[in-house]
Amino acid sequence: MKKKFDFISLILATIVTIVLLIVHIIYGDVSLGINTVNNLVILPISLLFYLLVSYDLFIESFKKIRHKQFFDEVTLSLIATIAAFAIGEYVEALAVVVFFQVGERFEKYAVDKSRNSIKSILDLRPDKVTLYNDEIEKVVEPFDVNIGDLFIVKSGERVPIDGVVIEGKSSLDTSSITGESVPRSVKENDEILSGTINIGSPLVIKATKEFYNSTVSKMLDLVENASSQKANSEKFITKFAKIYTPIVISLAVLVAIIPPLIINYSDPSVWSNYIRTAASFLVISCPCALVLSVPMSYFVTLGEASKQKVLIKGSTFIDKFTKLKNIVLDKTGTITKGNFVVTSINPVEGTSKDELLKLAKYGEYYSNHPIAHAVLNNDKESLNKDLLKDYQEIDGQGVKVEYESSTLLIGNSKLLSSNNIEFNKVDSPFTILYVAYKGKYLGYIEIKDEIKESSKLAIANYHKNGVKKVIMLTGDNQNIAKVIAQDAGVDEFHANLLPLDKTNKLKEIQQNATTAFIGDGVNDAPSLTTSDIGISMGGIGSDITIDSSDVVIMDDDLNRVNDVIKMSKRNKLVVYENIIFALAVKIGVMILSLIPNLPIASYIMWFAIFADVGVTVICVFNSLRLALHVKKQN
Amino acid sequence: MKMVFKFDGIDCAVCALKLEEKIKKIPNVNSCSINFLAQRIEIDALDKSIIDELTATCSSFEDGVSIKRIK
Repeated sequence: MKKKFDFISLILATIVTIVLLIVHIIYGDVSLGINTVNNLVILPISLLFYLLVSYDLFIESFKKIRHKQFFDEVTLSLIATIAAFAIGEYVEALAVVVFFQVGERFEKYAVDKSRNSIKSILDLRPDKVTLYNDEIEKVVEPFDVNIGDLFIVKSGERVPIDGVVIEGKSSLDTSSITGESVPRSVKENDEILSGTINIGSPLVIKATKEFYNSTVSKMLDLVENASSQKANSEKFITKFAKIYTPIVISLAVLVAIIPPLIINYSDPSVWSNYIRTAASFLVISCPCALVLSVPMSYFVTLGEASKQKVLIKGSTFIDKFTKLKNIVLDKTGTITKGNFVVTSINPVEGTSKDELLKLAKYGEYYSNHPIAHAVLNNDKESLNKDLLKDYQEIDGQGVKVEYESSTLLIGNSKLLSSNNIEFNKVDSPFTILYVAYKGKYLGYIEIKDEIKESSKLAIANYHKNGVKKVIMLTGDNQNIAKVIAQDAGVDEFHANLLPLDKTNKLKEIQQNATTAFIGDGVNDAPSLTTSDIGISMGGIGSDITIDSSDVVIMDDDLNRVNDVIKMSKRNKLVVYENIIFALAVKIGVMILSLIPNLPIASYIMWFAIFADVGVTVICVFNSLRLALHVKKQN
Repeated sequence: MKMVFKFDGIDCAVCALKLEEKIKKIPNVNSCSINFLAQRIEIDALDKSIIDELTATCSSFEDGVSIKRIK
């Protein structure tokens, strides 16, 4: 109720102010009996509304003075209004407080809006956990849960803490954590990540991490951590704010005293002119426009990025994206899908494709290598493992196993050579698995890691977005690397690299230009921390990922990086616009108010009000625009 | 040690900067960074003993700022 009244009275006060201004311009100096309209009509009405509107500002100001804050923006504005009354600028005095209040409403609206943009990710933060130790339900704060505690997650609830399922079977919606839209079914002993939503029946879960080490907590931390990684422009504004107000106040005092003393200290109209100038200075003395709008644009950009499934560790990285010159990509799992598929089966004469594949499957039965997964293709059930004996993996070669009491070999050319088996070496850009059984070569299987559909377009767009060089690094051999590199459209590639080589190569590349490294996060931690911007994707579940990355892409689409580059560039433009606009208007009005005998001199207070409130509102809404833009894109 | 607090009760960005300056003056606080929009105070301090004075500093700031430790 009070708010509504407040709103209506503010609109009324604004209308009255404008009407009074018009009356003042047209009839101000007209005489009414022995006095002017200014003194008989405008003064009492202005004073009445002034008191109504500024009542709570005075209370605020007194409180601040009691806390020894003498140069607060509210107090300074009030001093300016008192000065305005003193020199007969009644409407201006009223306008200062009315527009100050109007400006505050707009700012509050903008702050709420900007906080909304980050809200969707903050909603992931759990506020309670239902403990289930000793089969008794007890609701506690997430902080109070220890490792090993049992808790219940009911249908529709979000998993608050990482853990392992003790009891129950259900499905989890993991989309907010991994971007994967297909629900994941879970049963006893399955590990589950916090932030996912239980969409089936209740689960009893044992906490395997404390709350602050859980996935969701780390994700939130990454986004909210922005304040400790401030961008240069934010740091500049903070420093600027510290010196701006004292300088403007000092100037105001000097302007009020020195010129009248020099020009003609016995002429009251000279004094009133310079007091007006000083009052205008006080009105402009708040750095609000910049202190609010610059961090707000970064904040909105971080929030909007998180809506696009990109978590950025701080504003400083948004700036780095605008300078990005090199993008270095890991191959497997980043450019490619990371799941290998069998592309061709090539038996020798006398052996069928099915036979060769069946033998290969038996050979890879016990292996956990991604290539084994490709060969097995989830088809373990048709195999009879009792036929296998003496399984052994030979490092860097392959597998040797007894199948139906005869030796089965499956692996690379080295494996066959070292077992003295005759075969034709195949020259192929793909991974080749040779199969030999009972001492005879039976054929080979070609296995390929597929390039992600999104990779080509994403890499082409990196160039469009100003990236000079896209470079692929891989541990695979030259042949395999070359095919993927050409297919993906990267500018340069380096093969046969061990993880440490990758990091060294990266250091070399980023010597001269801002470089981002994109990897799957698990094996690339050193490269992620070395690069200017370490971007990990698709590996949100692993501990190291979030800790060592500057940017986490929750799903596995390389195109997200293009979105972020665009957002960062828009952000930079908005920040520059705001800084230049705000400073130009503020300094411009101060200079104008110092020029004697300007035709608009008597209205300079109005310019000052615009330079304060008007500029703040314009800058802040300019920052909010960053949120609108993203919405339009989708 | 690093500590993070959520705050409530500051409604202007400039005020947040002022509070930041005040917190920096608390003994044993090495650094302080306030994010007005995220409503977060990040502090690097010698140990937990500063929390009492921090709470006092905040609650005597303007109309009273309440803080809650989240990390």
